[in-house]
Amino acid sequence: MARFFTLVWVVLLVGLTVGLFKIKYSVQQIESDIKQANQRIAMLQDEYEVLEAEWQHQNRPERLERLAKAYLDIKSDRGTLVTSLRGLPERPAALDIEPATQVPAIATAPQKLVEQFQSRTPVLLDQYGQDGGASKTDPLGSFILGLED
Amino acid sequence: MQTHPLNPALSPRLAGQAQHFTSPALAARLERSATPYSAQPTPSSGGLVSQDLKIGRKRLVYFALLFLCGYLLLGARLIGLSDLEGTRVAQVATPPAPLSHKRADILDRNGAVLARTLNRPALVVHPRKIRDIDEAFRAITEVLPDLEPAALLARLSNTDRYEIQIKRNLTPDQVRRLNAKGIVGLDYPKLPSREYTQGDLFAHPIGYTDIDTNGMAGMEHVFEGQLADLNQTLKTSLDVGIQHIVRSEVQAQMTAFEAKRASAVLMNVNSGEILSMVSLPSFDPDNVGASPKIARINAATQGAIELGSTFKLFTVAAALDRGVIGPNDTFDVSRPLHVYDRVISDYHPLPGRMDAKHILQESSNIGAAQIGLRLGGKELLRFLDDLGMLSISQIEVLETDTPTFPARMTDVSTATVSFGHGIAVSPLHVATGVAALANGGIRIQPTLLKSNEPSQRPQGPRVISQETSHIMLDYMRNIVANGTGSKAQVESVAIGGKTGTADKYGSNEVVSSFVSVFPIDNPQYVLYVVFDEPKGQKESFNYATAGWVAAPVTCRIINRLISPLGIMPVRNTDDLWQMMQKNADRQDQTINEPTSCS
Repeated sequence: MARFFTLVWVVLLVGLTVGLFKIKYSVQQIESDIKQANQRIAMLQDEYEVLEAEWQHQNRPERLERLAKAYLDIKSDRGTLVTSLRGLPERPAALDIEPATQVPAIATAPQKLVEQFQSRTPVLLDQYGQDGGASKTDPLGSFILGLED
Repeated sequence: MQTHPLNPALSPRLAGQAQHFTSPALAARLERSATPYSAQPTPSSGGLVSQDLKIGRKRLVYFALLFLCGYLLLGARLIGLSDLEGTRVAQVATPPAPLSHKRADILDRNGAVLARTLNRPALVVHPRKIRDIDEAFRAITEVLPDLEPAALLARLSNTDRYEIQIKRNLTPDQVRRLNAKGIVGLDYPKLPSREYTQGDLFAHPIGYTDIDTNGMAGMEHVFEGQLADLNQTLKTSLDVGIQHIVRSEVQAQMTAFEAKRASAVLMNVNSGEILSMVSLPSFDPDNVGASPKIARINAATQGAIELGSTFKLFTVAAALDRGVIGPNDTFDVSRPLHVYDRVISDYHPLPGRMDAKHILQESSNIGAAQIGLRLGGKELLRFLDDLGMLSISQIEVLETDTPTFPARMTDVSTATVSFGHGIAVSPLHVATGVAALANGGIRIQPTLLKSNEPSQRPQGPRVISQETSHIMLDYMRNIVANGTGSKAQVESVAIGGKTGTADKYGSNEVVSSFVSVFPIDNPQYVLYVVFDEPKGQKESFNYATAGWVAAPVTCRIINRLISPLGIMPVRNTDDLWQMMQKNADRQDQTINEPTSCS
C-alpha cells in the first residue's frame, strides 16, 4: 500500500516537474512573442505616423489648388452657388433625362495607366528602405518619403 | 540483558555499544533506550523514555497540523488566484505603454496634423570602421550631392572620433540607395524630428522647435509642458483650409500693392476662437535661421502700430453708449478743427453737418475728433481699456507687444486718439474690440485653442449695451453699403466694416486696414486685414488707401469663405438688411449696386 502511494507521489512529482518546465518555456516564448509584437506595433505606429504626416502634406490646400487648376476644368466657388436643400427647386414630375454622354475618365484611360493607378498600394519602407521603390512613382511632391516634386 | 524497544533483535548490539562508551551518563541513557518499552517505567512511575516519546509524538502532530494548515492556505490562495473566468488576465494584460516618448502633435480644429515629431533616419559614420575612404566618399556624395565635399572627406578620415553625424532627416529612398552600396561603417539611427506638414502656413501662431524638438516660439513654446512632458495633443482653433484662403488672398494683394508686410485675423465673435492668423512675410519653420528678422515677427499680435480710422468705431460706440451723443446729433465737418496748435482736417472736404452714422460713412476725422472731445479723453481711454486695448493681448503666444497710448489725455491727444492716431495696438486688439461691438457688447477672450463646448453666447464682461451694439452694426453695414468700404461689398453675404488708413509718422507711407463683421444680420465672424506700407498702383489710380487695398481683399476672402464657414448666402443682401431695419432712415435706401470683387 505504502509503495503504491509512493509511486503515485513520484508520478505526480514527475508530472508536475514536466508541467512546470513546459509552462516556464511556453511563458518565455509568449513573452518574447509579446516583445516582438510590441516592437512591430511601434514600428507600424512610426510608419503610420509618417504616412499620415505625408498625407497631410500632400493634401496642403495650396497644392490641391495648384493641381486642380492644372488638371481639372472647374470654376471657383462663388457664394451665390451655395443654397440649402430646401432652396432647390422641385423636381418636375415628368423629367426627360438624357443618358450620360460623358464617361468617367478612368473608363477611357489607357489600360496600363489604370492598372498602375489601381496597384499603387503604399509600400512601407523599413529602416534600411527596402521596398522595391514602389512609392517613388508619385510625381507630385513629398517631404518625408522623398518623392520627386 | 539490554533489549531494543521496538526490535528485540537489535538488543544485543545496543548492549554491546553501551559498553564501549566511557561516559557513564551516556551509557545510562543508551541502556535506558535499550530497555523494552513495556519494561520502562511509566511517568507516574518516573519512566523517562515514555515521556520523551509522548512529547515527540505530540510535536509531530503539531507540526503536521501546522504544515497542513499552511498547505491548505496555499491551496486556497492558489484557487483564489487561478483565473477561472479569464477576466483578470485580460485586465493584467493591458497594452504596453507607448514605447517611444515623443513630443505630441499639434492639430487644427478639424484634426489635421500641423506639427508632428517623427523618427527619421540620419546618416552616421564610424570612421574607424571604414575600410576605403574614397569608396565611402563617392557613395555618399552620389546619394547626397548637396554635402560639402571637403568637409565630408575630413569627417570620414577623422579617426579620432568613434562616430560622426553627417546628415539628419534622410528619406527612405536615400537610406535604401546608401545601404545598397554595402559600405561598412555607415549607420542610420532614427532621430526625432519636428515636421510641419503645412510648411510655412502656420509659422507664426504655431512657432517652431530647435533641433532637439524643444519649443522655441509660438504655441510650440507656450505649450512646451503639455506637448513634451505630458505628451498631450494640442487642438488649436485654426483651420487649414480657411488659413490658406485668407493667406493666399492677403499674399496676392500684398504683392500687387508692394506692401512691406501684411497680417490678418479671423475670429469667431462669440467664442473668441481664432480660425486664421496670418502674418506676412512668413518664414520656414524647418529653417528659421535662413529667414530675415522681419519675417519672424508675428505682425498680427506683435506689430503694435497706429491703425487709424478703425478706431472711430470705438469712439462713436463709447459716446453712444455713455449717452454723450445721440444717433441724431450732428456735427459741423465743413471746416478744419483747431485744437490748440493742431489743425485736424479730412481727406476730402465734406459739406455741412453730419450725424455719427455719416461721420463713419465718410470717415471724417473732424467729426470723430469732435465726438471724442465731447466724450472726454479720460472716458475714451477708460472705454478702450474696457475693450482690452491698453493691455497686452492674453493670447496663447508670447510674441505680443504692449500697446502704446498717451500718458496724459490732453485735448490734442483725445482728438487724435478719436480717429486712431497717437495710439498703437496690434491687429488682434482691434479684432477683439470690434468683436465686442458686434456680438452684443461682450468683451470676449481671443484664443488659439479649440473650445470643447463652443458656446453660442459670448462669455465675458459687458462693455456696451445690446442697443449700442445693434446701432454699431447698422453703422458698419452703412459704411460698406454707401461709404468708404464699398469695395468690400460681397455679392451674397451682408457684411459691415470700417476702413482705416493711417499715416506713418515721419514718412509718406500709410497703413491700410479693413475690419469687417459678417454676416451682419447675425454676426459670427470678424475679419481684420492690415497692409503695412502699400504703394499706390496704376489700377488703383495711385491710391494706397484702405478702400482700395484692404476692402477688395476682404470681399474676395469672404466670398471664398462662404462655403467653408457654412454661411448661407442670400440672394439680395440689402433686401434682408432692409427687412431688419424697418425703421431705418429712408434716405439710406439708395443702395449701391453690388459689385463682384473677384
